[in-house]
Amino acid sequence: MIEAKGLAKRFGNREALHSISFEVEEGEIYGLLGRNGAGKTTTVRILACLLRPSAGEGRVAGYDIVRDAPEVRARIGILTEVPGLYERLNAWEYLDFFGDVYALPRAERHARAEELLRMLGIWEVRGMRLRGYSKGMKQKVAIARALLHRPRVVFFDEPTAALDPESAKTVRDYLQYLADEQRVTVVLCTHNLAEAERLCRRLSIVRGGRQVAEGTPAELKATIGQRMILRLRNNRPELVQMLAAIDGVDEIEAVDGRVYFKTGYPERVNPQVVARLVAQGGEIVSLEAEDVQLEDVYLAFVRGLES
Amino acid sequence: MRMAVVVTKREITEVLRDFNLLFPMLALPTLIAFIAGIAVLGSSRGPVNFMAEMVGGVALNQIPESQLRILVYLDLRDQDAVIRVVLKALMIPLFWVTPVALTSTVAADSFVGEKERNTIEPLLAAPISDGQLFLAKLATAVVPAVLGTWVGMLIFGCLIFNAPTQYFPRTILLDPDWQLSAFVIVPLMAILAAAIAALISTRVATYRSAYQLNGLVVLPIILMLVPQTVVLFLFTPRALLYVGAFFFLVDAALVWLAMRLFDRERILRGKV
Repeated sequence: MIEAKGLAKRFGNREALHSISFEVEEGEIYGLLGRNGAGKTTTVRILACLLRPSAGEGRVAGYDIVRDAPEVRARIGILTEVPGLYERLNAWEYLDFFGDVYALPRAERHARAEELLRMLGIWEVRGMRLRGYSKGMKQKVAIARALLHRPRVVFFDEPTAALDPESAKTVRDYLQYLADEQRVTVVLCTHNLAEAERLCRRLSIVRGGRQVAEGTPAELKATIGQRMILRLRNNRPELVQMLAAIDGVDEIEAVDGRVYFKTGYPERVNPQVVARLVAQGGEIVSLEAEDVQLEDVYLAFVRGLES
Repeated sequence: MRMAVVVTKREITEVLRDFNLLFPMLALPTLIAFIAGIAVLGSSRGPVNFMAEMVGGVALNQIPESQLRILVYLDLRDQDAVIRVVLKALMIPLFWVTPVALTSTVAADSFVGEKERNTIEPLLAAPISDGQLFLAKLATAVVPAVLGTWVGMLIFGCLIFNAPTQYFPRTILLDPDWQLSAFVIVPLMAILAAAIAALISTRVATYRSAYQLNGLVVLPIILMLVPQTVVLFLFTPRALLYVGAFFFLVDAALVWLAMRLFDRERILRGKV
């Protein structure tokens, strides 16, 4: 549904994006993670035909993002960083306007606007000027706008950032429903790593305009190495030195009767660790893997693990 | 064109709901109508010789008498005719200030204000072409300004109709020069101001700077053109046709240039 091949963007002398490539399948939620200014928004703007790529090519919903931009625009919904609402209008007029822009027949756009406003819990205040809305309410109207015309692909930039926990859950559940039941493809830019892990089948981490990692959350966790905790009844220094010599064992340390080490290849390394310890008379009480969070992966990559 | 109409309707609704934009729309044409009305009515009460000297002298004293006979088509001995033409020549361009001033205000809001308020991005992501979006914004700036000017002309027409004078057509809306001014030149003046505002909008990022720059660019043009038009009235009865043709060409060039510079990426990045 989305294909990005070597997308790059240059603003004057500054290269904002270097060769970003990924594919997103129909009905998949794909995450873009990275610091502010990393290039996530530029990537989304290119795919949404708001910016022309300096290099590379992309297809969205089967259409080329440069040659068939009007076709792409008709099939996407976008939630930008800032809600960007016409604050002299009320929510109903605002959605009616965008429904008209997307050429929805009057009855359909009214029905759809009502459905979304009710789902987001702002139906009762639909007649109030948007200027008087809270930040969270504005975000909900912007979400309704992005989904109004039933787009096949949606780009959501921090959809739950300004929402209370209950509304955030409603939006997350709805995104999951759109992807699973309606086969809508979602690109999600977020700093909420728990949300990304929960929703996204695959993720890209972008740093300084470069794509530094891509994969499922599990694959990404594996790339930074898993931290293992080894408990020995007879924790002798020479045993730790012996373990440190094993290929694939990193960052080993002994603390309070436990030995901690990291490995990117636990399936290969852990049996060797056990075998050598047993051979050297080590008495193993337990060997377990510490749970790796997506946050660890994210921090490792944005701080420059790849270098 | 449907998209352009949809966007224009929404933008005009917003203009009508913003007191800062709506107030000048109503106040300026009304003020100009009353100033013009008082000037015409006041002039009709003086003696003919004095009026001819005063009104005609404003423009004619600037031209050497030998050239005056060749250039001016009027019989200068017919004092009533001179007063009629000069009064008309002074009053018609007075109403050209309104479309320019009003268009600049709305155009700055429409072209730059939307960028400044971050409302433009969802619209740029919608299936509307750059050309249609440009036309919508141009119409948003032009239509209220032209309507406001017409309201002012209507008020002026009513004043003259109710206090007729021999130096002015009683029903000005039936006068061909007033019709040409209202239905051709006023819209062209508004388009001129809107196109200049569109060009300026590609260079600035804030409503305030756009508005100030519009004033700096547009007002000197008007201040230069209006007196020249007044004098042109004395040289030819087709003065407004020439003025209209001139503005049409200038507008066409400016609109073409502004459309070329109006594209999504420039708008989004806020600079050329």
